[in-house]
Amino acid sequence: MTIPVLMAVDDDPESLGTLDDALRRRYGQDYLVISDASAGAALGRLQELRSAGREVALVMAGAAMAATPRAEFLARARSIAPAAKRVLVVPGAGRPRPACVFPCL
Amino acid sequence: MNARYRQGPGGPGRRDRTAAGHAASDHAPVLSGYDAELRRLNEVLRRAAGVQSGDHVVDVGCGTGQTTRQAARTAQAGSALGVDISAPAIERARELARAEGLRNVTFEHANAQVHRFPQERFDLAISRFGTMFFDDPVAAFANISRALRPAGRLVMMVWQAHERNEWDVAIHQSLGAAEGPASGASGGPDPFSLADPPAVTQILRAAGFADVAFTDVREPVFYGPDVAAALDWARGFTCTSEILKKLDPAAAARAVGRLREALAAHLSDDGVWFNSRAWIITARGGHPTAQAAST
Repeated sequence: MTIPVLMAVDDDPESLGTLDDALRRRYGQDYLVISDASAGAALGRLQELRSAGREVALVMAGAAMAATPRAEFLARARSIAPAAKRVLVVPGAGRPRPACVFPCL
Repeated sequence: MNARYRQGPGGPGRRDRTAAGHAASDHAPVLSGYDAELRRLNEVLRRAAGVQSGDHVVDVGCGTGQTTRQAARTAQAGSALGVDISAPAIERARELARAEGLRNVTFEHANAQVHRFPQERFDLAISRFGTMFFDDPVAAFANISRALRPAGRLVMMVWQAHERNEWDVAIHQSLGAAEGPASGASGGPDPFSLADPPAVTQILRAAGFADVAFTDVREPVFYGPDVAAALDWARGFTCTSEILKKLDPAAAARAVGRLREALAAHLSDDGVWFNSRAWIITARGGHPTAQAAST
């Protein structure tokens, strides 16, 4: 049985690591969590996942990404994985709250 | 465990009884169980893995740990971790490592598909027929990829297709299951699930690996020093016992007779051997996944 993919991308490795860890703890049994610190590499990975017939449930763009590349990343992600929900992570106080992702799935 | 037919306790398990309790230390004069069967293939994997002193190695589906101990000896100041979902196999692996006095080897009873390995810990992931039975291969290899350091290597041995493996063809023809591998027919775990290079390449790329390459390996497998021992070994395969269970006693006896004949036809001066075909699959990790600020 294959599980759908949650993808998180951010330019800041520390933020990404925190988000990745939180996502795995909360959703790791039901989703394949993939994190990438490069938008280009993430798009390549999305292509590979599509070739492998994987369902991508969610693509998250982190707060450390500049606005324009972030928007471009999400647009291109949509063209590769049109069924995936797309999420902008906005800066805020405290640690990421993965429970907030749940309503998006 | 290097199973072919059963995700036994330990994923790649092939037999109802695991190698646990049967496998001897590879320092012992006589190997038994899988270690004996796969000894020629084992040497090919050892060379391909090319463990270096100081390497940290993870051995996926390690069974009773022959390949893990082998890696640990070469790694010296490095380390080797073996994981397998068979608890008895892991217990046996620990006993054998203790008996040998190896201090840089550890074993964990775990499913490599979901186990929380330390991130970017290992230089090398190896497997001897321990990766064919994952429920979700992409998820499993992605998990292994995360455990590798950037540009860490994956070196694994898997079976090529059923029809290229004389041992499987002979067994199934003997048992009257000429339509194909019993595992496929029964819908059970497929020991040949990683036999197709394009499909495997796709899986590994989706999992974050690059530079996927295949090397054709042709080495015989050893079934026993004589026909009786070989028959005992082959009857221990889950596929064999499953087929025999479905037959009435007379038909089962005839099938066993045919199997004995097939084994006898492969008896040489040094025991019963069958040809086999396997792939050594290599890939490079280090897809810039989660630079994962270890949190």
